[in-house]
Amino acid sequence: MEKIVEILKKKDLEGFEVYLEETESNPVIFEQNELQSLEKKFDRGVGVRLIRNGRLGFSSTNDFESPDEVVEYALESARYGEKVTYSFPGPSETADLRIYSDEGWPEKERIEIGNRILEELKGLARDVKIDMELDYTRKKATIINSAGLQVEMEKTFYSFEISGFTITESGFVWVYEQKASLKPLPPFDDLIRKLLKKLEHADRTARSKSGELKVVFAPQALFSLIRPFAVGLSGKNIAKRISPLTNRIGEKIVGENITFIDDGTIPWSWGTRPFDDEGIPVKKRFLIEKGVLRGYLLDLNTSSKIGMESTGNAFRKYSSLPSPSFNNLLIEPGEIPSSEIFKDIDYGIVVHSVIGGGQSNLLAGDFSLNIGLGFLIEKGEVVGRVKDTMVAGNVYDCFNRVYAVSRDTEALGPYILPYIAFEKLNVTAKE
Amino acid sequence: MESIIKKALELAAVEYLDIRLEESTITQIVYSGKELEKAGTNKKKGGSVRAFHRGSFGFATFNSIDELPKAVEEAQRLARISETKGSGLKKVDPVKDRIKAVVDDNPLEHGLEEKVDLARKYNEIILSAGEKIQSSRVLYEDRFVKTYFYSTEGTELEIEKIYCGVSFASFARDGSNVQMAFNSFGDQRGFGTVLDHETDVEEVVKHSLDLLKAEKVEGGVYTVVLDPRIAGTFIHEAFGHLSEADHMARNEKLKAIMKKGSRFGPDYLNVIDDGSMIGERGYIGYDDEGVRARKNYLIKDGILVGRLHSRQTAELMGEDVTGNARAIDFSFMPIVRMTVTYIDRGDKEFEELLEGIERGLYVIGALGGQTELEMFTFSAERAYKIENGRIGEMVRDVVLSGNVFETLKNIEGIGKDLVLYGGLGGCGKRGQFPLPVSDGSPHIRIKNVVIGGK
Repeated sequence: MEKIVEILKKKDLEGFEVYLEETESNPVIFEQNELQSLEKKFDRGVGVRLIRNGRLGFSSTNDFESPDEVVEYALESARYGEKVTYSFPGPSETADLRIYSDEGWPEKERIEIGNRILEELKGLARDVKIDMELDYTRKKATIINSAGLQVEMEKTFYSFEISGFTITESGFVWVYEQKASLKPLPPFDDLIRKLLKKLEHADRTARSKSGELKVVFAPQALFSLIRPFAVGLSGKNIAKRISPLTNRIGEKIVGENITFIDDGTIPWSWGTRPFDDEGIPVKKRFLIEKGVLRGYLLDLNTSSKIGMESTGNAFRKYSSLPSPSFNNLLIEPGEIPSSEIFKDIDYGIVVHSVIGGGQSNLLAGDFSLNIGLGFLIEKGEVVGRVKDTMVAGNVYDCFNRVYAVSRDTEALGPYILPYIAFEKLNVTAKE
Repeated sequence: MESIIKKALELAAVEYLDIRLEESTITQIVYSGKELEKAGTNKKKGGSVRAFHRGSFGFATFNSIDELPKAVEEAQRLARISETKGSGLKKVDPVKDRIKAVVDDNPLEHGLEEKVDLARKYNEIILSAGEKIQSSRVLYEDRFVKTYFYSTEGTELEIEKIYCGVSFASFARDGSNVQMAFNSFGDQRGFGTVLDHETDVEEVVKHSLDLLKAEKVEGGVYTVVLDPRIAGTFIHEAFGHLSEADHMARNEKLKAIMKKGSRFGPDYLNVIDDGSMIGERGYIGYDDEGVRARKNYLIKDGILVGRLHSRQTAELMGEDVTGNARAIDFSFMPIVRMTVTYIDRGDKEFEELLEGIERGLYVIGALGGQTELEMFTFSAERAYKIENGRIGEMVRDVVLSGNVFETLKNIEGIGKDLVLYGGLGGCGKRGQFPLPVSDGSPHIRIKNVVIGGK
């Protein structure tokens, strides 16, 4: 890396940045109730951004034996590159955040955890096939730029994912749970209980009416409704003026009970980091506050194009240019527990997973989703699993008709999401 | 190189071990609206070692070849940590082969400037199409990949591939109504694939403008006629993934459902996966376990006759290998994947497929798809109403869903006009995305398809 910096210093440039990334991951993988593989993956690479004659050049490599080549490729790229409207940031104050725990997670311990879970589930009447991934990853990123910035960040990632597959009277059933943190994970008993509860509810099939129904999105399914917002809030689409949220800061865009916070400072949360991938300090910011649009997701490039400051939302790999995204997205929880929301439903559907998220016109805010796992609720009780049923709408419309947001939330990687109950959504079921 | 690998193989003391080394050079040009967002070349090299011991795998990756011996030890350590009851790997004959990329015109011999000019030309067609065009996205990509594969069984392969493609999207806007249309061309035939698409770009622009005026589709159950592109996505999502044997190898119930000889569709339905079709984006020659690709019938005359295997799933199910173990690059373990998947041609003219449809949709272009094996969803760029056998006005936001066991049987006709599509995207599974695949079909007609909407 030092060599690359030295070479860049000798070139006639208006600015440069070197981003070095080292990742070591170590997943233990179970497939269909058997230990399938143990892996140790190591990747170390460098991305070079430079500015020459006002234009951006970029290249990346993981071959450290030829530092000249990556610089030459970046220089060639700068002959055609985008006109640069920003400059690289100098050093700034960053918070001291909790993102690193080198306690580790021994492979043998993870194999034992996996085997124990399989043993527990074997006792059940249902023939469930379990896939699991237990991962421990360490990542180190270093950024050096021509404005004197030289920063380094080390993070540890602990994650557990489990999915169960079974074939019942209601057809193929998939259930999924996960837990992820930057520090070692607590036991998974509650996750397994949740998984089993879903399996139990899926035993029977129920047929839903078509039409405008009450629909509750559980956190796992809610992710599909967040995607249109992610696209709409992205500085890329604001700068291109194709987002419907362009020039609307200060306006009310959804209901007053909706608040979106981008908070990259939550201790041990998946997306927490002192600074983003361009070295800009990360803060807690409102994106939507009580229904009013407060801000966008911006990096250096997109913020400069619309005359704003970077919000510290740049994400990248060494092999790609930065692009803005959420650090941690927190949807502010409400007052009432999700169990109460279900009890109050006279006739409606709760959706736990969907098939086909992200395939609609995301820019416009549209969604049209096949319900993967969802239950019909009548008079507060789960009647059975709905199948061959679609739910469709537009997020900028239906987030105005949220009648309840749950107090309980679930952390799905960097997304901390409640249950959200919509008054009326279009449901299409096969007759 | 060869001697270093062979020396490393001598360190092997497990049932089976293989070594993959890979070098790739990728040139990408991205126009986003007026801006050239990216133009340049990235390189990546590295390798991985996969060891198999008593039922489970150990896998270790590395960046520099100096680390190969260490990775061999690490993969073996990981494989030995736990023994399972699992079975072995299907026996295959060792092969020695060297495959050079066959391209009409090597994109690597063209300079960056020429590629930038080409992308700019397509981009300008979009941006100069009037004030309703809000933005554009044009992507050019070529990728050279060289892979060495050596195993303790004596297989020695050296494979080169050259992918080249272009995609273009047009964003039209009228007030808060934003619509996108898109097309892409990509395969392993060379630089010719990306040339002469001016008319295709103009069509994309027109479709994005037409979509501004189109009504949203009304939700309901329809008879649909799918164009070859979305019919290809349909067969990939609805049936291709279900054919991947890793889902069923240890699942007795699913094995019973997927019993060979079961009827899955009408007599005239034939579904094939074929990784040996030189030039197609999904062509592989050999898979990432060194098994030669071949033409595999999945459904023949409506009857289930085959599935896609890795050496492990073939052994578990007591069937022959098919050459479908693939990884997106050296840093991933190969898993069971598709290659070139298609519905074979039938005997219907396009007009015959429309006949007798009272209320239906002619569905065109694919934005994506997803499956949970039984239920699946796929979405179209646009569609036209069919009323009394005639094509009417355009509608938008068409997302189709179905249930594989019913939907394949609901196929009512297959056209003669088979087309295969590659493009620049790919397939995603278990965190490995995008894997280059092709899919295709003739026009097909299906009844009772659920479409979401108001």
